Amino acid sequence: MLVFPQLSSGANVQYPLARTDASRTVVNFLQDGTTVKFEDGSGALTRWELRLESLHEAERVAVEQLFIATEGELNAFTLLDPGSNLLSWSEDFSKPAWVADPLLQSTGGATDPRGGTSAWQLTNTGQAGQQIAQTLGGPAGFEYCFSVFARGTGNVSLVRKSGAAVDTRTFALTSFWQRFSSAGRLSATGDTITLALALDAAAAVQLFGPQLEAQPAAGPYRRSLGVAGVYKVRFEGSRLNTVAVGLDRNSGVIRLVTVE
Amino acid sequence: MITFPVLKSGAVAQYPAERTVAKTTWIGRFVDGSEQRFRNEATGLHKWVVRLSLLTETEMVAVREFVDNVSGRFESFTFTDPWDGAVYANCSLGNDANTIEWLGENNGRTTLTIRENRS
Repeated sequence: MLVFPQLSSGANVQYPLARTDASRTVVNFLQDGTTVKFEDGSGALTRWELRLESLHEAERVAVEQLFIATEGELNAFTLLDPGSNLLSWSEDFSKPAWVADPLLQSTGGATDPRGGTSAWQLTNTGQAGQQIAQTLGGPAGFEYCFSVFARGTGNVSLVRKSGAAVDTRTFALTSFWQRFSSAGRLSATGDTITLALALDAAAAVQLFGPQLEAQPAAGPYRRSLGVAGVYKVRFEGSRLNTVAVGLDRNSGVIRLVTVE
Repeated sequence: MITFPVLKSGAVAQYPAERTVAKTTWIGRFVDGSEQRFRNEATGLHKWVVRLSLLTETEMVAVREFVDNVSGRFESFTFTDPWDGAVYANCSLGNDANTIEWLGENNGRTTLTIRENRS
């Protein structure tokens, strides 16, 4: 799997970065000022401009090797969007992206830590642990941080797994909202990673804002809808230009664009 | 009904904000230098440039969801003029592309152009 590499920091980009969402509309302006519009539904695309500074030589080589492997702008690779929650439907556990064990009941509309009603009440009606999970198509061996806001009684476990590699972190809940996170790198080489929220038997918890990021710590929460933050992209342009600004310090601007 | 996103402060715009009123006129110029002018449109059309900075992640997500909902210039939405509170029911974005820059954590920047449409 070709994927945009992570830096030695565990993140895959630096600030500043820019993301452009573009759609395509054909507009006819008539003389009286009215307009006639047509939407090109297949014309939408997203662009990123990643400005990388002070890269170590190994980091620069990793980007360059990806550029060579994709033959420049010819072939696609995977980008874990640094500006998005990598999970989809972060405020709707009823969507098919989330796969719940059969004895786990979920109800939306609970009061969330921001004062809204986007939290979910999850109740394990079984005699054994149950979980709700989402699987992403991303490199399993990357550094990820999985986080969620939770309150209730008992415990909640944050699980990151790929194949036989599993990392489970268990947190005790209180009646106050707390944000829990599980970060690290799995010893796995697969192309998918599964993130699960596991509840003990008979547990009842409120959850809000599950988030996955390809970095070592949780960033600010970002709501996600139907599109996960994992994109098929290609380099935009046939040249990759990097500048050595000092010993083991390289800089460059990487431009990427979606292909689907 | 799609409405323009409101910032955490409750405002829809930040300084510096830009507002334009446009009225178009047909002008016929004659050989002797005289002119004849006709009003092209019954009423003027407004345009606003909303430059937003120091956006939180939540505000940036709201802007992205809004741009996605209106599909760039395609869909119309309601915009409340931050100058006088007048509500314009038929507006659309002026561009199909919207760029958001992350300058740091909870420090985003973007610019949106809004055009009033002829109803």
